[in-house]
Amino acid sequence: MTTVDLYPYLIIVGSSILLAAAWLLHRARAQTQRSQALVQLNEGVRFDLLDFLRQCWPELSAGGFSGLEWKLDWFGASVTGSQGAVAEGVLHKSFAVREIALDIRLYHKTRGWEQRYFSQVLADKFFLLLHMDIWIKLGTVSGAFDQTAKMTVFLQHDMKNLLQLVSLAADQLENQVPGQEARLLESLQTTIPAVRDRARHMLKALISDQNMGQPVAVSMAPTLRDTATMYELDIKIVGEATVMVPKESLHSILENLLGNYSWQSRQKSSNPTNLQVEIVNEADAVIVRLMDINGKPCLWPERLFEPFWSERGSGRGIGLYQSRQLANAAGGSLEVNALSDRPLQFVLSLPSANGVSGM
Amino acid sequence: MLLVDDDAALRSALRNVLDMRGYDVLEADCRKSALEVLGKKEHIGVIILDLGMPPAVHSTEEGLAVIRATSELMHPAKIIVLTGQDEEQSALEAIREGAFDFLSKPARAEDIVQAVKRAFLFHRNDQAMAAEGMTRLQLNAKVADGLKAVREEAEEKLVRQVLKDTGFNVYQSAARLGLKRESIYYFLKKFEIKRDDS
Repeated sequence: MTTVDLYPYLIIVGSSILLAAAWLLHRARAQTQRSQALVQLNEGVRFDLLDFLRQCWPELSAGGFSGLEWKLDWFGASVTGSQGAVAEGVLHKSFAVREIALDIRLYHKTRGWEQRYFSQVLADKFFLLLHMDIWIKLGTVSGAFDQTAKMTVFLQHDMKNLLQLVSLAADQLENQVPGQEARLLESLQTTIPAVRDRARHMLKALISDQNMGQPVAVSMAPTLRDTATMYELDIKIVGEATVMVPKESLHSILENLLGNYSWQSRQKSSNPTNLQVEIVNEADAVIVRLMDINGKPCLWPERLFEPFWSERGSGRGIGLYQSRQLANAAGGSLEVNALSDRPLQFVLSLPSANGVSGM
Repeated sequence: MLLVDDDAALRSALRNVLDMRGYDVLEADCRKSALEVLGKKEHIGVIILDLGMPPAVHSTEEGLAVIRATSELMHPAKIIVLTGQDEEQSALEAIREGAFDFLSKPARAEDIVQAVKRAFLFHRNDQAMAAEGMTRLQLNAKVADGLKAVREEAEEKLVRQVLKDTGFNVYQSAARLGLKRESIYYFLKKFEIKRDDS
């Protein structure tokens, strides 16, 4: 047999390989699309495990499965579900994380090995999404509880002071000291308005942290200096400018920033905090660059603005997050320059007021 | 007496309660101002102290620092802690640092007044003891550290107290303690006591 005689066979073999490859490629693309559809569905139900389980069957069925069974222990409540039909080949997976436990079975349609391979790939992605949803749910729940606990502690502090004020006023009225009536009235004239203002302030804080009033012209350098004095921080300010922001927002931003430096300062036994601040006018914005020249490089710059993450146990972990929100709401920004070999630098940008004084 | 609380309204209300009962009340709104007042006013007998003050209003750091500083100053004032911080934890810490009494917010006016009366009673008692040449020492000792550590702490506190009482007069201090002057110099060196510390 000559080489020419082999050509028909080679053509048949080559064509077969080509067809098989094209078919496998087609199947792979189809499974990839189903995987993406599952991911989109999961995003669509906002990573809610229960909704995802209840709505995922059409994609799995199209992906080569004959049936789905699941049993879920959802924070102590037992939920089960099944779709399609039970078959011989089964993929079984169990997840148990804290208050969530999931037992799930996917049944193969009886097809060839290549179908099983593609189904297995799809199932692996499906299981991964389920596992991720469990962790997202637990993370959300845990975060919400942490937030509530921290807020409760803070509100309790304010509530206790408020109640102490009311309690003192009531005690004074109930147990009046003879001959001191005029003094009592004078005392209540101070206490009662203070109680009213305190209650208003708390209500405002509960309703919205962002409701900070109208923008006004505020000089940056004296405000920074006053805040630093309050926190007993050494500060050197170069430059001056007037910003146009709600005064409460600016105070809140600076208190959060300098409060953190104050805390760090109290942790250090040597190299006391030495803040260097540069204030410059740039176009319509005032840029404030702030750095502790005795500070160390930040180990976790990516976490600085993460809500409810705090380096200190007693902190709420929302100071810098809130400061950035306030700066953004005021038409500015709060950024950080973090390098591995130098102290952290905060860069606060705020709208400039008209009639700004230069450096 | 001295009221230390960062809440101006509460300070004012409390001051009125105490004023009406005849107490002479001074105010401070933070650790720094409290220590300034204490440095100038040796005759303050009782301090009512909030633990949570700026710049750490939600922790006990500042209040405990005032208690520690008062103890280091050898100031004779009795400290009543009046705070909204987590009760058990802060009470324990405050008492450990040398507070005389602890009240949780919200406290009844009468309870505060009673605590103040008790504190003044003990303060007067301490003054009377001091007039008789006696002093009250507070020691926080770990049993595991043994007797030597307790003895050394007691020695140091007593020497510091007597030096303070005599205005750092070594001769008088030695006489009061029944020691030779050389022994006082030995303690000064051993405990690294300087005139400003006493």
